[in-house]
Amino acid sequence: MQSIAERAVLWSIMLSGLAFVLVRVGLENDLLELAPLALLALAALVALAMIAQMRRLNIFNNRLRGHALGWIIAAGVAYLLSLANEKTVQAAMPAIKSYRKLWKTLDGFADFLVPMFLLFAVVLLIVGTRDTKLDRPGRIERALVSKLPAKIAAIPMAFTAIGVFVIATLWTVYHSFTRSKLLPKSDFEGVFQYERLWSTDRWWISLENLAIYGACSMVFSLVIGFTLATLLDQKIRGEAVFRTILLYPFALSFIVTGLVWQWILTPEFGVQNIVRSLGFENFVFDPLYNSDIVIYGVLIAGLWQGTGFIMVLMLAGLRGIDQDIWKASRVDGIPTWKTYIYIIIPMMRPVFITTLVIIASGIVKVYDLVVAQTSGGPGLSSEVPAKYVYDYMFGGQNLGQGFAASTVMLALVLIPLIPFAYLEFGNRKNG
Amino acid sequence: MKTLSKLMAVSALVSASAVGAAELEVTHWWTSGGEAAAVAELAKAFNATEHDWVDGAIAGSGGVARPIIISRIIGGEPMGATQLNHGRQAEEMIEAGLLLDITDVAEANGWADIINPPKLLDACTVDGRIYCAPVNIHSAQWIWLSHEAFAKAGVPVPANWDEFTASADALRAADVVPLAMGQQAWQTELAFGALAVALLDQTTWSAVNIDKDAAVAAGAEYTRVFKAFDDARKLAVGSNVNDWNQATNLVITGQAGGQIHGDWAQGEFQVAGQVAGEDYTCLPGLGFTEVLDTGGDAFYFPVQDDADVEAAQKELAALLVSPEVQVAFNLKKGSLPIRGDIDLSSANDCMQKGLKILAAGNVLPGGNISFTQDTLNQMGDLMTAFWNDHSITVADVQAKYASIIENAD
Repeated sequence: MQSIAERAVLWSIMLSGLAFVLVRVGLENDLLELAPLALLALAALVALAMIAQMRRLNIFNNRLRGHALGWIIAAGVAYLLSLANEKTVQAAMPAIKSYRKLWKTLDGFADFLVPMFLLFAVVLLIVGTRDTKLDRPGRIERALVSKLPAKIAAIPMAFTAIGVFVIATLWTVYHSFTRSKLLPKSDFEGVFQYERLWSTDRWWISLENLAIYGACSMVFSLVIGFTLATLLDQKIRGEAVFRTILLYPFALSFIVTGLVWQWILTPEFGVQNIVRSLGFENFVFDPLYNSDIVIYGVLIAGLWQGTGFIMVLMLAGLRGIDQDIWKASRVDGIPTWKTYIYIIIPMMRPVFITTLVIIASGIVKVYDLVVAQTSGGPGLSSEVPAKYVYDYMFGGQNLGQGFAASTVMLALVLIPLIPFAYLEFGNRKNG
Repeated sequence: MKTLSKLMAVSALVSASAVGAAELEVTHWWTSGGEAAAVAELAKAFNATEHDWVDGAIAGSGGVARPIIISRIIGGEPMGATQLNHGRQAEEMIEAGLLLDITDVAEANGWADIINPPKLLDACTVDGRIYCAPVNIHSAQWIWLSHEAFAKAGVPVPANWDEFTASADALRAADVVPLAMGQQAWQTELAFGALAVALLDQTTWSAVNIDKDAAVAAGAEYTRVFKAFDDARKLAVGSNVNDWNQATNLVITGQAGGQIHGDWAQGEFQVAGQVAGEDYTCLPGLGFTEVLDTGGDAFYFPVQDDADVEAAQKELAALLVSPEVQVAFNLKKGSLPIRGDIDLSSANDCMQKGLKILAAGNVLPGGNISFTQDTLNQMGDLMTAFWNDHSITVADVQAKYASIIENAD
């Protein structure tokens, strides 16, 4: 009975928090807007019922009074924050007036947090009165009391993570179902933006380019990066020099890389011109001016910039291999190349996974390289999804369309990532 | 130290506001030679008042600058004043109350009577209130022809688009690219718009561009426009430049026969010291119909929480429309003035042609006025794809164009 009541309190608080987040995201529904406070009220009712059952509430001689006081102070702080949004307070203290946008944003949170913190204090007093012995703390006590400093220390991180990764993402996804133009609008309009997106030629071209760029860049950076790392691993002289040279392009931004390679691949000045001046008059190499192969021109620049970094990661992995393994394989007379393929590479699995994630995230967000090198040209033949998002969101003043495209990009990342993460990290728990 | 410098900034602000002078940051994308000379005229006129003009030029055409400007206004970092093309670009910002209502300035200076054509002021008006000060009229339906290139090819300078396409072979033989065209989407879109105005009668044109009738856009009259556009893309093979002024430069130096471009190209000819009628020829309406559209530039004034700034903004608004500034600015820029009552007899040949058409009232609303930026973006994508990918047929592109018109709002 007790545990059911405790569960009810915790669940209604959690659901209330979820409803609150959904409302902040922009779901405008009368029922939902009532939900956060209604659920808190429900939790409070359950708490009152618990008090009624106990018939007394010992406040001063309470095991958990310190914690309860803490939550009351927290509620007070939240209330102060909401006060800062009041016009009269701002008039009295001009110093805080310049941050009024911040106060306005925080006010919405404070209105929710004040009753929640007070509720925490009340339920802790209940628990403290009831459970005088500490044999096995109840659910509420475990949630609100144990490891509290760690939980508090995690709050800034949790706020950022939830704010940026959860609320902002949900907000974007929700608004991709609206007709938002220059400014976001909240009226739900269905999948209209997605219908338009998937019937747009430019979007298909972008996806196709991303697929080519992604597949090639994944394979080549891994192969080239690993090969270079292996070569450097042979204890050659001047390793540091080579490492520096190969890593140097990584210090350049994609914008600079794009411009440099734009010049190198320009037929009049670059590679084509040099080869022609060597006597091969009919040599043609103009990837940036040929719509069929322009994406490979971008790929070359991307590989040049990124491979050095992959090499360094691989080299670190190779250096982490115990030298005894090499000695053992030499004793057994296994050829070096076989040692690499059958022993070293499987041992480097974690390094490969890290590298894969880094390469993959680089692929999805490729934008600046294309902008600097080709601006999506010739025509639309080197467009990429991220550029589509930018062009429609800001250039076309059509937020809804940009959000729909970015939601699809997110889905494209999640579809391979979720099964992968499940296999990779799910297994570790069992094994 | 930080507090001290803040304190000093505050006191500086206070002392500045005591005399009522303000600094206005003005953002615009006028960065080519002719444009920069023109904007300097505006700055000069504004600096002559007690206020200061802080120049905020953003390089890289409207497509790059507009998102930056709009993000700043929406993001709460508004500038003092900014160039935009008037029309639907600012619609939503006005609805959100981010732009200053300058109706009082307009009424005090009688804009309703002096601004010609009156459509320009309509484009600045939302629910009866005026939000922008138009500064010039730009029309896109011009072709600029290089006398040098045609002399090289040994053919006379053409008098319309048909003659131009007929002389293309001779130009190619003389190693001249017939048509110069920058690779940015808006330039191909502009060329298409110019061909549409030139080749269609007004009813057909308005059915598509004002009433958004998709059936007409898919019809036989429009097929003619797409065929001409198909010719144009073939004529432009070999013109590998990006910015419009680089394309104009090809015409100025005789490397290209002609360029379909707006009248702002004229500023470049002027900076290069060329004379209309001797070194180059301009044909409004591509030599067919003497009709121009009336897109153009206007200044908007983002709302700022400061009475002095607001006063300065209103002063700038009045100044931009004043006769002296209009003459100085438009002569440098090669665009047409927004008022019919000023003397531009010092203007050159091409501008006189434009003024005559304007006076006769042969004007159409510009693309920015009838379509949203979103629709224009879609058209731009379509035209760029067609322009560069010669495997897309006329029928394909017309069908897609009609579907964009159908979905336009």
